[in-house]
Amino acid sequence: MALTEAQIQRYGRQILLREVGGKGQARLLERPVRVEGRNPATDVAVAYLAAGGTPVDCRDGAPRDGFLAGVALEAFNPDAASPAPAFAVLAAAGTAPSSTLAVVVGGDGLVVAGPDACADCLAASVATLAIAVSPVDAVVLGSLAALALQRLALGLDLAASIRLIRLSGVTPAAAPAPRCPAHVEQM
Amino acid sequence: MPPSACVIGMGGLGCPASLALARAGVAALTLIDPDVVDVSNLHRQPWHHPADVGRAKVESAGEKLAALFPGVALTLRREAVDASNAEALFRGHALVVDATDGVHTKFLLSDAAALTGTPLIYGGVLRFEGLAMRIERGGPCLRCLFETPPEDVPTCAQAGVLGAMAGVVGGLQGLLACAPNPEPGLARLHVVDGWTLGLRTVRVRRRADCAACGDGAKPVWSDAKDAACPTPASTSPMRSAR
Amino acid sequence: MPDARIDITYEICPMTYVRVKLALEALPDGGVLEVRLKGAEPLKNVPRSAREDGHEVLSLDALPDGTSRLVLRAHHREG
Repeated sequence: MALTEAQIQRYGRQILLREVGGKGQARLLERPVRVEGRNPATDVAVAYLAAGGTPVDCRDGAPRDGFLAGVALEAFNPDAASPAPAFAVLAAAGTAPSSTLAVVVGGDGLVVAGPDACADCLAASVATLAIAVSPVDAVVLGSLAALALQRLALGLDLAASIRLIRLSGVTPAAAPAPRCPAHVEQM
Repeated sequence: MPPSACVIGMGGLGCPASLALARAGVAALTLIDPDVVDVSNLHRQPWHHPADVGRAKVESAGEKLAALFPGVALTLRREAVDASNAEALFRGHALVVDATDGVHTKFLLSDAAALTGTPLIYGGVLRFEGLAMRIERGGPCLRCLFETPPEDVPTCAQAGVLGAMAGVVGGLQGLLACAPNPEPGLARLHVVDGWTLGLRTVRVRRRADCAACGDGAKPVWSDAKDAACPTPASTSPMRSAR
Repeated sequence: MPDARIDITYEICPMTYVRVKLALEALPDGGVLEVRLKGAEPLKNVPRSAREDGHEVLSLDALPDGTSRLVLRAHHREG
């Protein structure tokens, strides 16, 4: 798809990235994210996804707090409001994502899963996430979730892998992802 | 949480940092930025909407913060920070957040923190690389990390940034505002690799011979100006951290 | 003869290079782009940025009207 003049102006700073360019920006615009469940971190993630051009389908209600309080997605970025089949899922901890190509964010971290990930392993990781999200922590957690989804849209090859990022105090860091019983035996 | 905070820059880092500070319960918040909202800001500065293009950034962000956090005493200043006003800003607040986009300004703010003892939360994003660190009385400061501002001016191609990267670093700055360093002379430098989703923390010690915060150091004022070209979106010196 | 031409004399940094980058992306590997540019800043930055992105600077000439002509050959990493 060709970028419009308005899109070139809006996303110029992303297009400048060697790893993004015009083709990468088109990928972001063509790969919608469906939001399942809702918490303060998903609200932040939706703002960053929408700002960068990712169409966002908020089936469980539009963000109510933070950057998107009182503003419709259409007014925030018209590109983000167009409904289309989802490429990946952003889920709040406590909600089982309907796809394994997903980022699930909770109060103490997030899980990033590739398209071929084992659904049971994903569930095992997601089960470790705290449901309640501090609104302060939500800013960094939601931004990390948006970044992970943008990387998936741009072609981060996760395939069957699952990554767990844990926020401990002020420090986010990679943590070992738990496996389902079938895969634990193979390890 | 410090009672008052000053966020210098209301762009890619200032938007998430100001949201985190307001949510953390800061009583008084000062926003400073000389610029108006440009359409090219919208992808990474989510306080600013298409309808805000052309408005002062501090007004655009201040309006939304005031509506969401009526209990926070907001001060909006549409001005640039330089050697003439930096010291007073630091002395007038319990904490300062560096959400600026010029390398020389970053050194100026670090020097002001070393001079006044007011904690400074440094943050920087260059492409897919992000850094955040809390600078306190007794160091370490930016000069302990990098010594001097790098001479090589970034090219336009280096001005690229993914919006969520600024959100991660600004959000980390918000967390660091509420978390003093573990001990005097020691800080944690957060390093974010947005391309691999890699996250690590580097322990940084004060350098005894640091020009700004070392033993017996005299106040250092970097008064060099950043280039007029608006190239660096949220540039930071990165070399010695990698 | 270039495969494409663009004029960025009316743009400011960093949109100058955004235009060049998009025009280079639209060319096949090895394609030649002619860029008209004006001012010290793009003159310095656009060729540097193009080299950084892996493209080749074929020539840079000052023109009588005060603008410059930069000729680039596109090289795409993805092949």
